[in-house]
Amino acid sequence: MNEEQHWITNIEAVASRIERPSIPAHVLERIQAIPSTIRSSMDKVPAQTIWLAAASIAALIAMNIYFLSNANSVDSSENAIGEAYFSHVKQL
Amino acid sequence: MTDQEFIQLVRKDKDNAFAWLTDCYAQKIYGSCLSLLRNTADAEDLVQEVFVAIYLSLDSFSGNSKLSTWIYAITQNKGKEFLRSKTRLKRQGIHTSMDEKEVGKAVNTINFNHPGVQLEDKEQAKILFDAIDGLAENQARAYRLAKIEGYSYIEIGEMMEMSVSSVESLLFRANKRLRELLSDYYKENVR
Repeated sequence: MNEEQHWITNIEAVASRIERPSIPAHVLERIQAIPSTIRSSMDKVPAQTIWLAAASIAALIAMNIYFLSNANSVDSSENAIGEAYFSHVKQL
Repeated sequence: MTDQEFIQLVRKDKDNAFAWLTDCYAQKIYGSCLSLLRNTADAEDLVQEVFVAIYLSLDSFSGNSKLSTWIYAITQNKGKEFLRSKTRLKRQGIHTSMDEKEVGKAVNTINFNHPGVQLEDKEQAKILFDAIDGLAENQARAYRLAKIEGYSYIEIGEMMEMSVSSVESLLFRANKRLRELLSDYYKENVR
């Protein structure tokens, strides 16, 4: 085995010496407390705020639909004018 | 507990199911986070993020894939997100997209502090991990699971949703490519 191959084998061998450390106790405690933490944070948001957010989103969606439908009708009328103009030009 | 029994437990008592999951998987997920990030503080943050994601999506686990596959997928996705956010911070808020290879390179922005690596092996371990980052994503995953985290080929097959023979051939290619990368490093830096 030449020097390079020996060096590569040494580097690869490091993998087998890496230990698997235990999860720290404080991290495990925090993980175990996730359900109660999430529940308490959800309880902190007042119902009024949730309804307000939902109403805002609904209003935003309604406005988008309204403006999109208006934009479509403007587009179609513009297209009609354009087509009429080009057919007139072609006839000439 | 089988996966179906676990689903029933989630429906009956979600917190109890989560407690069981914590007992079975906390250590394994922490090991995966460490081998991905190689930094204790980051691994501690990531393992908590993974468990929050698991808790919030417990109801969506339908048993289509194995529980270990599902958990492993969440860990991988959260790991990638974590690395993206780390890199973004390093780049002082400039948002850039990252492809799979860049995720591996992003680890280099994190300080190497793996508690399982002995002090005298630290330099060599860093070279090894950098070479692993140079592998294709699937090869790097399989290599980490087999060589660093110590999973069997059957377990890796379950986690990565592939047959044992596919895992074997993936690891064969990973080993071959890793030796090529280490050889390049040797020629550039050691000789």
